[in-house]
Amino acid sequence: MKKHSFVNKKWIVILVIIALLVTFDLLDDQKSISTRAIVLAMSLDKGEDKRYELGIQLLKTDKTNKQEYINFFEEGDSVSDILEKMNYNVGATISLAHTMVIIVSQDILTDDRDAALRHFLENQVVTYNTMLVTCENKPKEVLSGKLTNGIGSGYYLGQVLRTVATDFGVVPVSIKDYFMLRYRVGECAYMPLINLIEEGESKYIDITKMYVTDGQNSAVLDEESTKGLSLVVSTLTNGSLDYSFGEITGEADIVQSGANISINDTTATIKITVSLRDTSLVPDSINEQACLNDINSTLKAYIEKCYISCKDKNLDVYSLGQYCYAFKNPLASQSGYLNDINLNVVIKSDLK
Amino acid sequence: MNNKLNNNIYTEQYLLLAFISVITFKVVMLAQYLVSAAGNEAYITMTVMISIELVMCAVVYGIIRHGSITSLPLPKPLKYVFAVALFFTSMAKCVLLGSEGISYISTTIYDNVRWSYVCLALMLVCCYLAYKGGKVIARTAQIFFWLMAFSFAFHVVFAQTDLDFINLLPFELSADIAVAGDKYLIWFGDYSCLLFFSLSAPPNANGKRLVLWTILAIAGTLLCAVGLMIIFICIFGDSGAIVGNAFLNVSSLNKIAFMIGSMDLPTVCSWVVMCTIRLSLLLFAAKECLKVFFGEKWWLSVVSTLLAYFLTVYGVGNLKTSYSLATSVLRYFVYLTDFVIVIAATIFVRIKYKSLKKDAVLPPPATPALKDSSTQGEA
Repeated sequence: MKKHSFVNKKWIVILVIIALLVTFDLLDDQKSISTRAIVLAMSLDKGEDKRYELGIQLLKTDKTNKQEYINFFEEGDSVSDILEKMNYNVGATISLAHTMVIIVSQDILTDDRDAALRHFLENQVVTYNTMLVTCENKPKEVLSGKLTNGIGSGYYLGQVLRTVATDFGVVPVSIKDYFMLRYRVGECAYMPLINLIEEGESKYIDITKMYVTDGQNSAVLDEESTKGLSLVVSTLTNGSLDYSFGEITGEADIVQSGANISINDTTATIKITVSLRDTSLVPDSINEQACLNDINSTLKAYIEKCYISCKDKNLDVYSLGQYCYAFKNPLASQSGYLNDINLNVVIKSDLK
Repeated sequence: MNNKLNNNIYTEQYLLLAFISVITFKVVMLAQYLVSAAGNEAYITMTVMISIELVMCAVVYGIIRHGSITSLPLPKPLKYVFAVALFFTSMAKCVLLGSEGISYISTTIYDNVRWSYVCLALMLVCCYLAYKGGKVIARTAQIFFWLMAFSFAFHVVFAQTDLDFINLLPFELSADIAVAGDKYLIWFGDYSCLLFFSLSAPPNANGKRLVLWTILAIAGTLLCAVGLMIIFICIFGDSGAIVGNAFLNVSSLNKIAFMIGSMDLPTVCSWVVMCTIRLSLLLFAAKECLKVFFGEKWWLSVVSTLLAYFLTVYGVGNLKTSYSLATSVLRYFVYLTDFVIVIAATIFVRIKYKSLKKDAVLPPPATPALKDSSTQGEA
């Protein structure tokens, strides 16, 4: 006689498995999403007593869709200690998995041997595309600053940095990029240097500079050097450049750019290829080549300025040491190899 | 169901199981370990070891065409030695590599759930699959193959990674490659559990189709293991030494993650399925070894699972201990035992079936399923 399908052994086993899984899931102390504090941005600093100061920014919403950015700050000897304290003080489980940006002080970058930042990476408490920035102000001030547009500065930074990746300017750096650079020959990493500016009642964030460090030495790149860096390390599709020829001035948009670095003996050659589109009214008599020459010399100056300002602090901003190592150039094993390298910048551009 | 049929699988299923068996635990923590030992040359270690493993899978295929290792007419003492050795290696791999899976689930998917719960849930499913036999494991793998294929396609389409190929250079064949291969030996040699299957050609067997599947399986294995290793090094460089779980971290870097947040579900689901199938294979292998001594009993898979459960939860207990044990002298025993048994079985099969072929007693290998099952017991 055929058995009823419901008393089939297979179904009993499946039901037992489901019952066990559900039971054990209920037994475990899983925090529901409503008891979690979703962190949007963090600040990290070292106080005068060398203790860490960690700040978090949360978004509180209510039924009226009113949004409020709340910040919490805590001190401690290690990041994990602070996070534990925060769990208690905030009254919810701190979840860093959605953190968009970490604002770190320059002290953390030059005086901490990456101990705090390694905690985030090794323990996978933040995602690898969490952005890193440093600031001219105190990180705490930046995180707690409420911008004129009403948005929390940490959240705003996280949003902005994701949209400027291919722009002619600051180079957004994620925590994985930072460590990738720090593990290269020269150990030199860079990240945006931001400044919270208050002018009267308005408050905004300036993001035009970069900060370069090898864990000890550091350099600040001005706007021009920052543009030079972005040309070498990023593939650009945005941004504009001014040019002049005689009395004619114009502006060209960057359509596409690419960089290639090669090392031959003691000469490092950086080849930049840029496609530009003229956005200004172009008279028929314009000398296109002369305009291109002006653009090329401007770009070359940016790249060289960036290199020299870093070389003065013995910072290998273009990872030339890594290229020496990759192509088995003996310079890679020499300390102070930057002094032996001659930089040759070649710009190839076309204007339409 | 006839027990002989339980472990009888088609060649395509064998290829899929070999693929899952080979890559499952090579795409998680191993990438980090290899980079810490061999730096940017880690992908060479992976290529060499995977190539050896693929060759060994082909050797296993040659053996199981004549029937599973337990059904081969081996001398009884030799069969017992093989069973004990394979039980030990399967259990060691199940406990040490299984810890990675449990750690992944308890820390990545959940928020530090106790190992005992995760292990129980996982082992229960694996126990059931091991109990049902090789055919059910193979069919489960076939069903979930599409989930894995979707997950792979999803990440290829939405991948957003800046690959810096300079991180792969210089290309050198240094001693670090061998050192890495030696230190992490236990993560390789994932073919011995396949010895417990017997093969049969599908009723509509098609030579061209089989060749295509074989090429796909080899290409897929190389792409998933070596390709992932190369991508991992390109993205993380030497900092890969502090970045755990390559599969999750590489696949989390996609366009969607930048738009709406982390989108790990396809990766998580496909890997958990692969992990379940891999652990089921190991428990199934352990059960088959016990069967040599105790005959066909329903409780053999339960005993194997309980042993694996208690060793994992109370013996190992955390990833640090698992790593210490996996990189201890034990690794030589596990790897060499699997290797030697496969070679010994091959030699035996070659000698035995060569002599039988002369007398024209044996049916040709890989006949359609039903015919094959009826003749295997007599072989």
